[in-house]
Amino acid sequence: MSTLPGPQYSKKRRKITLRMFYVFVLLASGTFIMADKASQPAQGALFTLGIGLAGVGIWSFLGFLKVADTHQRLINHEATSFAFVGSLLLTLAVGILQRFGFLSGISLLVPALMIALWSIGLFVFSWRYQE
Amino acid sequence: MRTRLRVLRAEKEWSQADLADAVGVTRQCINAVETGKYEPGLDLAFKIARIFGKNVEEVFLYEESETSSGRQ
Repeated sequence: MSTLPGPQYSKKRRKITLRMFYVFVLLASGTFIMADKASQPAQGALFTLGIGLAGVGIWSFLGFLKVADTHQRLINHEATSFAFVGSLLLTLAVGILQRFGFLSGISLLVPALMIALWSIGLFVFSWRYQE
Repeated sequence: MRTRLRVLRAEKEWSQADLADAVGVTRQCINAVETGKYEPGLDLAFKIARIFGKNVEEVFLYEESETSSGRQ
């Protein structure tokens, strides 16, 4: 058996950036929900904190894409498209239902819905490339 | 496009993970290339060929009929 050169990239960095993305999106979602229920003086601070946390989440995701290979980028592109179209259709449906007085006050769930759809998309499109 | 990647890798006794580490991609990527579910870009194709000490054409077999029939 001939030997191969060592790893040319950091697997760790991919894992860390992706985990950071999930953690910061979760923290941002939690902060937004808390801000929604908080009293007036705290609300502004919590919203600002939430935006900051979401910003770090986006930065982590961009960091992940930077170190991801072309195959992972393709899967992410497909998953993001799926999440975008899915969110668009679901928010349209929710909008229509809200016009008739149903499902009021769930607009804060849209980012969470996008993340959920993106995760489902990642799973489905990764699975498609398996043996 | 067909590939001789699995055969070449078996000759060298390298695992998919070994090759993936050497060319800087995930094991899933190598698996998708081997099974023909993902066509690598030029950069990855050259990296893989170079690792085996071969030309790209010796690793990836381009089948003319696939595109020429599409263009007609």
